[in-house]
Amino acid sequence: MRLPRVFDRQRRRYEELVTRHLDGVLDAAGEARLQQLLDSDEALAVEARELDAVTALLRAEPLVEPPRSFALPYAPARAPAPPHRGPLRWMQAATATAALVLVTLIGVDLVVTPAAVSEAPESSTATAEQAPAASQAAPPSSDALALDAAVSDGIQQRAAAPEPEPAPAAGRSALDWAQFGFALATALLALGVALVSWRATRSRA
Amino acid sequence: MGRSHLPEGQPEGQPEAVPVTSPPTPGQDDLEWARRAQDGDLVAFNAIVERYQARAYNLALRMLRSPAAAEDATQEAFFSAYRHIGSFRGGSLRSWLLTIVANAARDALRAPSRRRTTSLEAYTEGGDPGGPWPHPDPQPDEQAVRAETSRQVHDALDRLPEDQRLVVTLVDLEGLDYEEAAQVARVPIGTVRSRLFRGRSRLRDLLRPVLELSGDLPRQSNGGK
Repeated sequence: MRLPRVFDRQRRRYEELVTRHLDGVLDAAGEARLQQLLDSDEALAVEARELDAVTALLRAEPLVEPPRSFALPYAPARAPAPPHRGPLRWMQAATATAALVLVTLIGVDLVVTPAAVSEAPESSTATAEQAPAASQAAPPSSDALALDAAVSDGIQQRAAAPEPEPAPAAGRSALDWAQFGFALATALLALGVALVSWRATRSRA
Repeated sequence: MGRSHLPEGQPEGQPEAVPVTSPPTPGQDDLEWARRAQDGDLVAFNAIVERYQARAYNLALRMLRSPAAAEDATQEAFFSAYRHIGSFRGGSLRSWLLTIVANAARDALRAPSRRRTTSLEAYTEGGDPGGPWPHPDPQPDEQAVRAETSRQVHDALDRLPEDQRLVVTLVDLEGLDYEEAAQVARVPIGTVRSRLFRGRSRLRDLLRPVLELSGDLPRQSNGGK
């Protein structure tokens, strides 16, 4: 049966306290807390005593004597000094940063560009529809006539020009997403290389 | 890392065991030896070897469970340590060396041709010249009991999962603190503590007969927890 979470927490707390106690690194407050736990639960008290006995048994074990001396009979060749990794590290950081910037730019482009493309046809259509309505509502003045002629020319030009198709927009979006994915993968790869290099440097140090 | 973090002589809380190497020369601490070794002083490096070879060998032995493989790994580790002594930047020399030993043992475990599963019984059955566990008490009966206890302890250790065996060895047998053990085992300190608890709990079950016999535990009829 699965114990409620509160008991798991209490159990983990006990395990940490008793481990620290056995290793002699538990402070006074921790000792008091552990004692409180042991006083409230006889099973825990028994377990703690048994763990204490096991630890004592382990620590009483002497080291196995090595079969021979491992002193070096001669000085082996020193490993070559590690290459100066400063420039390489800067280049890795720069690559990761550039890749992140690229990802950000493409992401922003993806978010902004489709909205602009979708708004453009709607506004032009609205202009074309509103223009005749306006010309019907008011008597034509000379300026209005000139404007009307210009609008009519614009409508005719638009009618002559091919209408923007949704399919090419979708194709471009897919291409953008592919670019975004590629840039993201590059950025993650660059970050991974930089992280692995950093950890390797730390472990060698 | 600052000099104040360097170990000074034997660390506190070290399990009391029969010394198997010469005590360190007074006034020559790890940092001084390391500095001289970095300058190419083989004598100084061999002083480090003499000081830590028992711990190094025991760690390799516990990880590889084979005296021959442990011997190879320990020697390889000290060669590697000399070749890379220039990368030691201070801190605990013991941890630095044991990390190299642990890495050498891991390499040995990964190499199929070098994988050996010889039991430590060869040691307990007198396979090692001079005996593996030198006890000062020459009384035959007591020595036999201790040898049997040691055999059971080491058999129980061998039955632990590798990750638990490593931290129990580092902390309880080698006397490392949590931070050093975490460095050697390459895990966070919290993981060291949890593995220690689980390893000790498992050992408690495995060693129950020994503990009951020694009077450290009350006898149980069912023999389990």
